[in-house]
Amino acid sequence: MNKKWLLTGLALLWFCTACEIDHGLGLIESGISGRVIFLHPEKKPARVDAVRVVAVVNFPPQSLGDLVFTNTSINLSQLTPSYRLPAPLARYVLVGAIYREKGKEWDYAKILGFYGSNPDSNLYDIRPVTLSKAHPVAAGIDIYCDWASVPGGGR
Amino acid sequence: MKKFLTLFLLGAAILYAAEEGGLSGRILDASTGQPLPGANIQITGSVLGAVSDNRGQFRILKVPAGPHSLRATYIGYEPAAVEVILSGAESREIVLRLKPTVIPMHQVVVTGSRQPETLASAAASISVMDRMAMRRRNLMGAAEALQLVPGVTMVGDYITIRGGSGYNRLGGSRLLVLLDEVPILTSDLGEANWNIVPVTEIERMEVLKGAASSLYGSGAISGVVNMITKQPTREISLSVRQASGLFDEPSVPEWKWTDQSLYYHRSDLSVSKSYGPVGVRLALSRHASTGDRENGHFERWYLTGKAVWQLPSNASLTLFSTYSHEQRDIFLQWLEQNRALNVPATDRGDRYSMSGYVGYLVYSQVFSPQLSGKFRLSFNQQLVGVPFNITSAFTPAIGASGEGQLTWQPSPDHSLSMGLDYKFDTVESAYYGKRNANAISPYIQEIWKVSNLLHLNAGLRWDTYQLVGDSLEYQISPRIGFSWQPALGTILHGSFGRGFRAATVVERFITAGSKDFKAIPNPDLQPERSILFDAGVRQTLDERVYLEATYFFNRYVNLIEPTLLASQLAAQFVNYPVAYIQGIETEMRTRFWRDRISLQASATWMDPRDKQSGGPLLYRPRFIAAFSPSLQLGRFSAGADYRYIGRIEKVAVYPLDERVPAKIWDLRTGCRVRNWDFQFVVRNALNYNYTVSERVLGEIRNYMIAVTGEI
Repeated sequence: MNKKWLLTGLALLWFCTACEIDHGLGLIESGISGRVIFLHPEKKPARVDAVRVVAVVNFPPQSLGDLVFTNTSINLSQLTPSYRLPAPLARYVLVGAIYREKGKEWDYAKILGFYGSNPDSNLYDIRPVTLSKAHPVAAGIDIYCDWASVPGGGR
Repeated sequence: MKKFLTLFLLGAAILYAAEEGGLSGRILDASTGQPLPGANIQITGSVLGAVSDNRGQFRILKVPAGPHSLRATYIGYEPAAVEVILSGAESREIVLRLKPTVIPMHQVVVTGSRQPETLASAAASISVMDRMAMRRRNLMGAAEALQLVPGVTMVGDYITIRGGSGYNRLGGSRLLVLLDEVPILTSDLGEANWNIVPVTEIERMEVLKGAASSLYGSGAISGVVNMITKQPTREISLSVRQASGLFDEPSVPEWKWTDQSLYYHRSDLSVSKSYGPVGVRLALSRHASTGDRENGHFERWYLTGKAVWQLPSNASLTLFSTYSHEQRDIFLQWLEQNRALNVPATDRGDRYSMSGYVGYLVYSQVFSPQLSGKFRLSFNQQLVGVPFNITSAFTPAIGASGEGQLTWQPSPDHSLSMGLDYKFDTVESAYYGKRNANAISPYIQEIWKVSNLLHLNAGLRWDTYQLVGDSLEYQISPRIGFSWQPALGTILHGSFGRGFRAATVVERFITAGSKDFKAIPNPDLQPERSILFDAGVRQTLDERVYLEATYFFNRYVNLIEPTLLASQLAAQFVNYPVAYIQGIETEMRTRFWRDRISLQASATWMDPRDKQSGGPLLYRPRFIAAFSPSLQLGRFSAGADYRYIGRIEKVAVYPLDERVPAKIWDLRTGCRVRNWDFQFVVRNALNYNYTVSERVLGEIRNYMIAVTGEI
């Protein structure tokens, strides 16, 4: 009788260890990374206190569901801070940076710059970024942000 | 008028005081001899009855002389009956022994029709979670008890029945929550504070699904949960529970955010005793946790008291009072999926406190074996804590209500309930101003036992709701239902009715904002209205297997749901013109190997759809299921609970985020020594990761030891 229980126990143990356990959600491997390049830093208005990177599936966005954004602000004390935006597999028609003014809410119309533009070179071409199973990570997505373009920023 | 009422009550008492005796005794488990607390004892064909206390004891006073049939019922047990002949003012002591069964149909419930009825004769779909089932699982809160109930699921902190609600932060509940039949939804948010009463003080929870507005009014648009609290005992009784747990490390090493141990404790203590005709029960609980994540810490205290005074002349007065206070850190959403147990730096250290008080006074009077009345006053003051760090801008929301109900059985085949419900709400905040509201609702319901095999019921409620200075909202909500036994062991049942819910003050008027989010008011919001239908079959096979299947179809008009505005991170409540939710709910219970092994399983499929867009409604799973095997070998026991919640099809804020179904295994083993239970529980045993709401991870694996006992 005891032997039977022991064998059953061992069989169960083997079964459990042989099973591949599904842990559900894990790390998100896909994402967009690059640098935010601030131009004319001397013209940064004092009222701006945070900048986020945002990727947009539809432009103009129809709902919040069309947006993916970083939860933390970009480091504003650096001239070319790097960023990494974990993002699901999708085609993002615009990857850009938005700013927030002190004491105000985030407003997704306040775009500071986007991927594809370079005000120094007079380039204003919006370039999409596609994350797929074959290419889950897009690196080198640099976003040029010109502080002079912000109202009250000096231009 | 007052004089007339007093004379009437006195007259009724004197009239029926003559030639009356009493019945008292105990209700025991036939196999173990253990007392069965919370069993229902009824004198058949009358409104006379009682509920057994912690020691299985009961007492029914003022029983008229003559022959009577006394019937005792308890969930998980076969009913037992005894014939008694009382002569004059004789008192009789009776012991009834009940045998365990898997058939729940004999269980008496009160929520389905506001009067005691068996599940077998209930037209509505009702599920019950009793104290033993809750004790076995060592639950930490009342809401946890509902997660295994067929058709019920939890999205975030929100309990939803048959997909009636999704995740609706700041939105009102479509589920009316009652504490001993007293409504306790908050007056501002219209949401349930599940932590108002310690789970150890709950005798059972009855879940009424489908059309309920005809009996309970605004808020009960998709169902009712009635938390029935424990009764004071006759002799002194001391109950204690100590549970302590330790969180494991996350299954994703990158999510580890601290090297410190993460743990929780819960202590519950209650004492009960009767002093002559007055029974008193007091309970004190504390629940504290570091949480399994950053900003996860909380500490909660409860103080609960209940006094029941058995008055002469077959009347009783119940005074109940409960207070809870909580301080907790806020985890609104993770920093990012790769750091799922961290909050954004700006949220670090955010916390709020919430407190709530609910008190009620109920006077019950049995005027005669055919006529009884119940009169209630209640007070509900809660500061649930708006989930942003702005609690100081709110004053507690206050709701005061009163109700009178008469139940009349003119013949053994007819039972008529009628009553009047009044509620006054007053709320004030910098975010929605000062608002007062009145709701008055008369109702009536008849249950007609056409034969032993066929029961019909019909009810009507007129709901009125008016914010002071605003227009009157009203609805007449009818409900009809039946239960029919066409063959032995088979019961068909069905119900059809209308539901109503007035928009809450917060849904209409809130103007609030946080660092990342704001809410925009919509004063033109219309009340929600629903038509609910369900029909099903309850089947027993050889007294060992119980099966239930129910089809439901709910149509909602002006469903109040949040909508998000893209240009700014902002939300506003709007009316969805028409939405449908239909589905099938199934349940199975069985026991075998001389009742040592029991199995319980349920599965619910739902199709929640917005008619305008044709797409699914927000935050509703299509499929939920639960499976609970358990084993009892003498004093040793082991069990498991598996919950499956299908992948949420549509979310509002982050639809691009990866979403997975929830698959959660809880395991437990225990040993009973005299009146003490020693248990070891593993919650989320496979350390499965899923989101309970957007960007909020479910609890990670934790190990708990618990000791529960009575002295």
